[in-house]
Amino acid sequence: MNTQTMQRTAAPVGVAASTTAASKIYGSGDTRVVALDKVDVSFAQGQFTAIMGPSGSGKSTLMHCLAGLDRLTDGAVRIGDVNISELSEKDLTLLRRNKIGFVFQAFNLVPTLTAIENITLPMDLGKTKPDQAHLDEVIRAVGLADRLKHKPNELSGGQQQRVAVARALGSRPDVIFADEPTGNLDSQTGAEILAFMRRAVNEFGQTIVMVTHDPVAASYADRVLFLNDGRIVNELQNPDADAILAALRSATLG
Amino acid sequence: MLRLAFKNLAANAVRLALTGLAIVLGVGFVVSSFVLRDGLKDSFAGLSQEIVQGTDILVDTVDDDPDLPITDADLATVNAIPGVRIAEGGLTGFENSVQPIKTDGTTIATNGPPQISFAWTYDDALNPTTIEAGRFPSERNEWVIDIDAAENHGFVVGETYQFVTPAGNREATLVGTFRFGEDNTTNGATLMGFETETAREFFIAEDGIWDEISVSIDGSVPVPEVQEAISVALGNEPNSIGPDAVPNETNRFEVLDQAEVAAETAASFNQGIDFFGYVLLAFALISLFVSVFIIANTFSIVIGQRIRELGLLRAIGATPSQIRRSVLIESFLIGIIASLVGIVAGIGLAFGLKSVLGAIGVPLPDFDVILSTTTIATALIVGTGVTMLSAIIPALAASRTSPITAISGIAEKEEKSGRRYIVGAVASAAGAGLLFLALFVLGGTQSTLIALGVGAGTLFIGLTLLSPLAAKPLARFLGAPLRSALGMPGELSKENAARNPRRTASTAAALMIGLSLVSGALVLGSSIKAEITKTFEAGLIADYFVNTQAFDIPDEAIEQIEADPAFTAVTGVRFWGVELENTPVDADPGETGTGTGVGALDFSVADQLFNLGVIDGDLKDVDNDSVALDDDLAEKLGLGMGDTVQMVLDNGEVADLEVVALFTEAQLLEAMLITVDRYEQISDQPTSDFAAALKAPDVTAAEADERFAEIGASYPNLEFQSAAEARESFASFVDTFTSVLSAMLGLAILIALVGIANTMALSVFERTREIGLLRAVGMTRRQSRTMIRWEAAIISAVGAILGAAIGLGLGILLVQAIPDQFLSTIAVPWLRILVLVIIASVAGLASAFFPAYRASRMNVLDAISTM
Repeated sequence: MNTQTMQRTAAPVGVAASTTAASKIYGSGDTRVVALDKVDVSFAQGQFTAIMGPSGSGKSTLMHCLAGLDRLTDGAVRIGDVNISELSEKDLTLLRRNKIGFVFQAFNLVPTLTAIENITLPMDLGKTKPDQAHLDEVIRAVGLADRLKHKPNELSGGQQQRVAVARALGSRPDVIFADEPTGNLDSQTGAEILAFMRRAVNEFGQTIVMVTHDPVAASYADRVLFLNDGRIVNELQNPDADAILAALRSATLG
Repeated sequence: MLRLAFKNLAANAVRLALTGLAIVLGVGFVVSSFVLRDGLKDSFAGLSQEIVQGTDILVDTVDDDPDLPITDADLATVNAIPGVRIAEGGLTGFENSVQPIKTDGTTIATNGPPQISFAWTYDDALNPTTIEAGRFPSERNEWVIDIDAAENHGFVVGETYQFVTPAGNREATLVGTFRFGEDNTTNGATLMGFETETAREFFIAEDGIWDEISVSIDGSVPVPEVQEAISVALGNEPNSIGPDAVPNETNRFEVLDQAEVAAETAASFNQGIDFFGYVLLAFALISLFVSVFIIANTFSIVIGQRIRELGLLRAIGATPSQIRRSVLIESFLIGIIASLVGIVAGIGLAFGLKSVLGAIGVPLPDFDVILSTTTIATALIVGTGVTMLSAIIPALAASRTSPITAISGIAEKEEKSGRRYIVGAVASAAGAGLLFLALFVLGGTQSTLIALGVGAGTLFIGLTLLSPLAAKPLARFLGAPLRSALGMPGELSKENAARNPRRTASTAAALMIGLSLVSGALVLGSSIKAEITKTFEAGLIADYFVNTQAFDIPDEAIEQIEADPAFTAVTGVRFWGVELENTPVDADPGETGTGTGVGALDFSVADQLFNLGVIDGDLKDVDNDSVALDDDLAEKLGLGMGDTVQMVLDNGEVADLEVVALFTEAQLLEAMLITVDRYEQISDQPTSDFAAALKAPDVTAAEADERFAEIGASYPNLEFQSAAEARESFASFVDTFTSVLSAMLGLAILIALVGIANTMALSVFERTREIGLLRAVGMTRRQSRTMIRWEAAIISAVGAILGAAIGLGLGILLVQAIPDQFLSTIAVPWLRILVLVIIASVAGLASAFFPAYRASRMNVLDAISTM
């Protein structure tokens, strides 16, 4: 934890994650599908990035490969300085545990564990002691202090997703990957989650990469990348929802 | 619906293989008991046929009644009948009663096939054997042995050997070897033929008396006519030949033709084989019973997982009965396939069982595989029936699926548990009541056995229904240490085991039943052991106990010990059974007389060797006209000091014996004790079952051992044991019995473990996304394996602990039910039961190897994107 903090202060605009000529090809011959086509991209520390694109554009594949859930056919993925393409399954698991946070669209929580147990799950798996001050801050920020002993089925969808975000933040990962985190929520609850993620970037300097198809959700990001046919076709900085919608339309058409 | 059922089978091959495995094992055990039984019967039928080859007619006394022996005069009568070519008298010794001493000074072990000795039959046609080397025994003290036994035990023609016989130590010269039938198919038995008078001496058979008469005809008169003529000439009423003849005062003799003799011989073998078969079948049925729980559990989990698919079927118009039928058809198909595999497995198991039994000292003869139509039909009906029976409740649940589940994917609220627990409580109470009735009230064996079986079955079903109540708290309690020991994976194991108490309980049920049976057997075994120890410690004053591995102890050996100055008090003890004319006070109206075990010993030394707890009179006063009685027996017969016991003698006369002593501790001897002289009037076997000896005070243990070694050289089949050694050897016999019983009941545990593996595999499948999530947030493969394995361990421990608790209760109940005169001690083998629970839990942990492996190999991306 300490080393990470020191690195962060020493290199305030370092790269949290990046890809070099990342390619992912499914099948061969007639059924060959190029999901990622030599993608070069990097994500700066402390930045909130949204990845958008139509179905089949490769946005989910990109995120899965970045997060160490899937492996590239060719090219490299780096989390910080580590080339994760070279890691063993075990090291990759430890990397996910220690350096990466996840927020999924649904089924984010282990049903048998309480909210607080879910939040500290990655640290408990590694038997590392959580940074209690940081944890308290995160819990206060998500506003779940009175629901920590509840099991997931006793929480609303929004509350569950806030627990998921708290879990992702709890271990201070280098980068959080969020896969349609508001996809299953109504717009108001979704907005709360997105605002909370935004605050995590602002207040904790957290790096977040989020895949979404919702222009409103994407508008919370510092930077929006547009993918189509496995390539990055456009990029916007600090856009509003209308600009995103326009870019999305041109990306899809172009 | 049939096509759907087939498609489901094909789509879930692994899942079904797991379901079927329980059936395969259950059916396999049933089939193996049949295959073993039929094969052994066939093997012994061949033997029976070979024994009677050449004997056209056999004359025997009805029920082998020793009061009415076949005499030389009877033999002469038969020989004089027209059509009889020759008739020969036959004599056979008791199994293992005559034992030759091998060159190495030992006798042939008696825990294997029997050693059978007989008087040589001299007519070639009547004798089923053929001399291979040397000649037949024609002179006094000559004998022959079958070729395989000669080779296996190193007996050489021309040498003279010592024998231990009921008459004492004797010697005879081996003059030849013979072959029995075509291939010397003795099924492992050792056959020994002796010259007639030598046999008479060795067997202590009276002069001029025969066990049976074998007849060979000359063909001039048809067999039935010769039979009738023999029967009438011997004094039977006309037309009383054959096996159906009613024996009465006049009809003393059975006169059988060859086929009837073969059938009767085979029947005597078959009785034992049938009993053996029933015992195996009982264990197989226990396995099947356990299988029902596993199959029902698997079906309900699988149906739960298919709820969306079933909802879709309902949404597109399938009726509840169609859904129900499709599940039942599916179970029918699984049942058929598994039963067929089970039949094949059963044949293998039969041979496996044969080698296991051989390894623990119960060798079975070789046999051919006989797969009868009955066996196949039984296997198919039982296997398929059990599978379909297990599927009924899950099928009903499936048919209640509402169409909306197709969209929501969530099963409607589980039916209220209240009814389940009421049914469980009622069934448990009914089962316990039946058991109580069987153990403490019912007398007849048939009804007791049925009540025991049905009672135990009902009790287990009831307890299984109730067990979810205990499953959750028990799983939490047992899993509590796992968090600190294994970290987060341990915590998850605990919570997973506790999250669905009904599933945990159903999965653990089979293990619970298996464990309860085994621990019940352990309680019984250790109580018997404790009783033996108590009996020996309290009842035996003697320093030494003389026992035999063979038949009985000859008086000659006991006399040698008596003659040795190292021993001050010695007696042989003989046991037999007698009829008394005294009627028990609580006898049913019209019932007269009773039977009892009787013991005979030297009363002049009895109180120096045994502590019988004499409460009245003196053992030294017992003479030929008196008797010592156990107080319980005296009470049962309504007798006191000075009253008369009326004992029926061998010759039919009744002896009046005055009660001159009453005692309380009958366990080591018998409830009624008489003198050796009186004993000879009720039994024609003048040998002792065991002997007890007291050494002189100045003789050391080492010196006594030396004396025994010297005497033992002539009687290598005798065991001279100190009191402690004797106690140990009895106790170890109980141990062996308990182990064999536990091992057979352990088959149910094996099936239970298959069930646990099954549930874990299904749970892993069901929790694909959850495991994927855990892996995504940093659970290593090793941790995921740990999580699954320990969940299985907790489930197993839940079943094992519940089972051990139930088994303790049942075991204690059983011990209580056995009358105190046989078993009054309750001993609970805590350590062994604890070890058993631990072994079962570890086995459960190991059984989840494959599901744990699957969980750890799960593709994280696929898992989390599975919707």
